Amino acid sequence: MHTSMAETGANRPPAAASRLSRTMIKLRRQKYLFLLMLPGIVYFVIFKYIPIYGVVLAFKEFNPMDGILGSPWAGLKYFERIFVSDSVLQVLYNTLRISFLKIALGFPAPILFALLLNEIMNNKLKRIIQTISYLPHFLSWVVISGLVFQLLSPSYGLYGYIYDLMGWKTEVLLSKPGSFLAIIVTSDIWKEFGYGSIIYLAAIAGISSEMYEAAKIDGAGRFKQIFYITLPSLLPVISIMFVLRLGNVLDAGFDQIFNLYNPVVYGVADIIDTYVYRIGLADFQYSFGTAVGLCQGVVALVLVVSANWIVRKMTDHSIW
Amino acid sequence: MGIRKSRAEKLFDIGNAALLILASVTILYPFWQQLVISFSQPAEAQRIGLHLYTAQPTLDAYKRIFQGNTIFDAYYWTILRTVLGTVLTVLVTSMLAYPLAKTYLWARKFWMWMVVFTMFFSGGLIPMYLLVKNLHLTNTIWALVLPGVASAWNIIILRNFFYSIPEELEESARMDGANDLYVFFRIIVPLSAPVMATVTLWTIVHHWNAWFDALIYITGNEIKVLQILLREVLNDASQMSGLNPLLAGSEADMDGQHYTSESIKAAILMVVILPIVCVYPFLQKYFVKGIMIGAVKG
Repeated sequence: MHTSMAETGANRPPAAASRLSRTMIKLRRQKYLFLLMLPGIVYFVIFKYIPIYGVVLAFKEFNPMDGILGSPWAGLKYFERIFVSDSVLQVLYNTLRISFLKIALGFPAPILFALLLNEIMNNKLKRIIQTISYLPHFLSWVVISGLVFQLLSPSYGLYGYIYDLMGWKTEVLLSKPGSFLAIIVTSDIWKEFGYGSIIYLAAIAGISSEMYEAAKIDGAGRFKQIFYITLPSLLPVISIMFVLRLGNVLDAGFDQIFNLYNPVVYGVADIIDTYVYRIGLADFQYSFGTAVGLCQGVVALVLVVSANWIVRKMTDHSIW
Repeated sequence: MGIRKSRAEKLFDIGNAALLILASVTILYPFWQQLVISFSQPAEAQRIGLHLYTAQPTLDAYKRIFQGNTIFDAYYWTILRTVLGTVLTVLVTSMLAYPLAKTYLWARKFWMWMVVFTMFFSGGLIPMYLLVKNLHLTNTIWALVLPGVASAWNIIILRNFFYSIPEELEESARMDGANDLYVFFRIIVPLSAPVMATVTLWTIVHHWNAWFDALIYITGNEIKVLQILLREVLNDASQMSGLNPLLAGSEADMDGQHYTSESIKAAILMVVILPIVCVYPFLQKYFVKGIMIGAVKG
């Protein structure tokens, strides 16, 4: 072993030189490939990696005059603040609560929809329902919030209409913590169940028709086919989607909540993302906001990478 | 095919169809209601009811919102950011993805990791905001265009597609002395029309719907995209300060005409979603295709 190392050492200068020149030749041959890549790499460095470097802000006493680099170090001051802050604990709790409510009620929705849609025998009807169900996905939460405000209006919305009909007393639903959460979960399901079903419908389309034929010959009716063929065949896709969804648990839906919440319901509605926005960009506590965002980012990184790892174990290949 | 259905199955079929039709109605109803309200007389727009139809349709709300330049300006900025953003995204993304699909590319693993890592970790809101500010992009259209030019997801989708193009198609051109630029722009790009269309449509929808970047990077009143205009109208924030000419004095006009802000809100919402609804048939086709490309691992 020693001798071989010595030999390598002795041969190093010429070997390194030839490796270098080989690399140079390769690079020269690939110069146009790198020319193509150049704008993209410059983009990634400036707009992705400089902000990643920018998280040092969380360790600094930010002074706009000196910039991020020139500002004095603050050590772990802002991270210590996170752990003693009641509001951080509250927004973490709110984030998890909204996420888990959305998973518990929203995750099964597209699966159920795909299963039921698959049972529609009239192809034209099936396509129409499918097309309609995807529509809300393509619109922003600004637009959807407009629809929600309208529907929930006590005076001229659907809510007002029904309550008027029943003679019940109306309230401002978006300003009541309980109903706010219900609206968040419902509107999220409403917006995404159709689009979310695409992956399951594709999986159903991939189930071999021979299985159904065989089941029919054995006398299995439609329900038995659903429970013993379709659903079990979907199980791998369902588990993958579930693990990936759990990996994104810290993302409770910023766009949705930001467009629907108001100060009265901050107690239940304020999530990490809205909190970071408000303390950072509205109150100018840049360093503290960055510190909260960094903690969230690191935990999310661990969760997402673990989710991908689990999925890879389940399927023998990764998502990308 | 002549298979006899049990009574339970027939019942299930009817119930199932009814349920799914009901689901479709719950999706369509809010849009229909907005449409009806946008064509309603002011008094009717604010009446308690289902707003399934209006007895006396009127174009007043639309006439009103198209008075002045507010809507046209907002359309201009939204279209401008969409066009600039989409052209840049498709160009930069495909130019980066093509070399990454070449197994012999120098340091390919490194470049790929550089891209993929950004899928899992980002600097977060505040460092990004400060970057855009320090680059003096705030209050310019570039603040809405440049930060989102390339995403790891699009790059992976395009790279996977480029992988699948057989090498032989490029070889004859290379034999004739064509370089990588020629091969990419003259051979690869034309072959990639379907996946390019998918990425293009994704990007168009993204830009049309984007609002948060405009909210934080644009502080003045000059650049106002449709989504921000709609947000202001919905939140009535500008109505109170009289900043928004669409709503200022909308309760009762000087000539005694009464425009409710409800029909105006509805009309603006319709105007904002109209283009998306128009391209929706294409969207549906290519989005579904895109999901499939994404689902199939390369």
